[in-house]
Amino acid sequence: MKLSTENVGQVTVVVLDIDILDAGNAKEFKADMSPILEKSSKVVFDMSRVNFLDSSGCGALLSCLRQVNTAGGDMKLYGVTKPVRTLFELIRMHRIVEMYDTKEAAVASF
Amino acid sequence: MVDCGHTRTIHFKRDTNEINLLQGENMPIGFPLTAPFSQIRIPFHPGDFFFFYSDGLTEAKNRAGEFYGEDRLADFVLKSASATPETLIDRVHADIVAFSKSEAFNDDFTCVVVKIADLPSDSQILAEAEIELKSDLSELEQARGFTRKFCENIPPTVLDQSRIEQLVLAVSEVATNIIKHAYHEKTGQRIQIHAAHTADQIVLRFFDWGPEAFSPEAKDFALPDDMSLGGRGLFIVKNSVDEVEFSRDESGKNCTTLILKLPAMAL
Repeated sequence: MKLSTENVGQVTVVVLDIDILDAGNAKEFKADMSPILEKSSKVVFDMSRVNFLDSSGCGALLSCLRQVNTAGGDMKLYGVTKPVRTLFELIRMHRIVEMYDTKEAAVASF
Repeated sequence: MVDCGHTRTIHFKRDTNEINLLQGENMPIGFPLTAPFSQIRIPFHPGDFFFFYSDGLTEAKNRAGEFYGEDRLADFVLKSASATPETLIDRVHADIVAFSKSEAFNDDFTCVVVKIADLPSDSQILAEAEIELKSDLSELEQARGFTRKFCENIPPTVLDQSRIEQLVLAVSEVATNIIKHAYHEKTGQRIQIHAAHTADQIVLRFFDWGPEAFSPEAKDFALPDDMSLGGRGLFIVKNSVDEVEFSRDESGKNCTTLILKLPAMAL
């Protein structure tokens, strides 16, 4: 899975270079994210390339959130695309995960 | 139609106001069967009817020994074609009685009229499509692509991109549920999706042959706690379409139906 990382100060920015995050690849996503999250508990996900997310994809994101929370950190999102935003509004994801329009805003929020 | 030496069925076609006489090719039932019965296919439309009858009608004789006959019957049915089936039968009976000057027939008087109903215009199916998938979570994009392609039939003023994506999400969740729960993630199982749309709704039906019926309760459709990692699928489906139904037939086929209503098209 194409996940590239960049460190901006204490925060790790992870670019999700994946078009679809669904029941078919959610497990792989969690497995690939786990080592990244072990190294850093202040993470920001770039969601701008993700055009389709389903309930399994949401579950995978929440499992990342849980992992960083356990380590005393946090996970935030930015660049969420329109269809994904619609889903997030439906399941009230914005109550659970912070979302920003830009990388800078997300990083600065820590 | 499989005809076994029967009288020729009268097919009234409303669009041309004509009668066709349907001729089969088979020997009567009871003759030695040397080959499978051959079938003929006849297209028909709302407003048409089929007049099936026994030879007691056409072989009714008048005082002069003439048969009522197929021609006279076909002409009479055509003249009375606008009557209801019940009235048509009554009139044919009355005409044959008048012809033979007798209410007693030598042979049986049997006829059946099958009229094809008009559909209300909103129920007319404007487009249909079908796809069969295998139960593999990595193939969900096939179900989504099928749905998007089907929605291309519908003008964007009636169904915009964002509604299409909501429907696509619901389709994806239903297919996922079937694979995970009906088939317990066993690969290679069949899932059929049938899509149809009328002027006022899109109906998607998913068929699976999982061992159990799926009978969710109201609580299964609720949004789970914030930090719950799963269980949102049914909530998403319910809130992405207008109606969801689950059923299972006697043969063990499950059917999940999604209905999305379409706004009336502006004239």
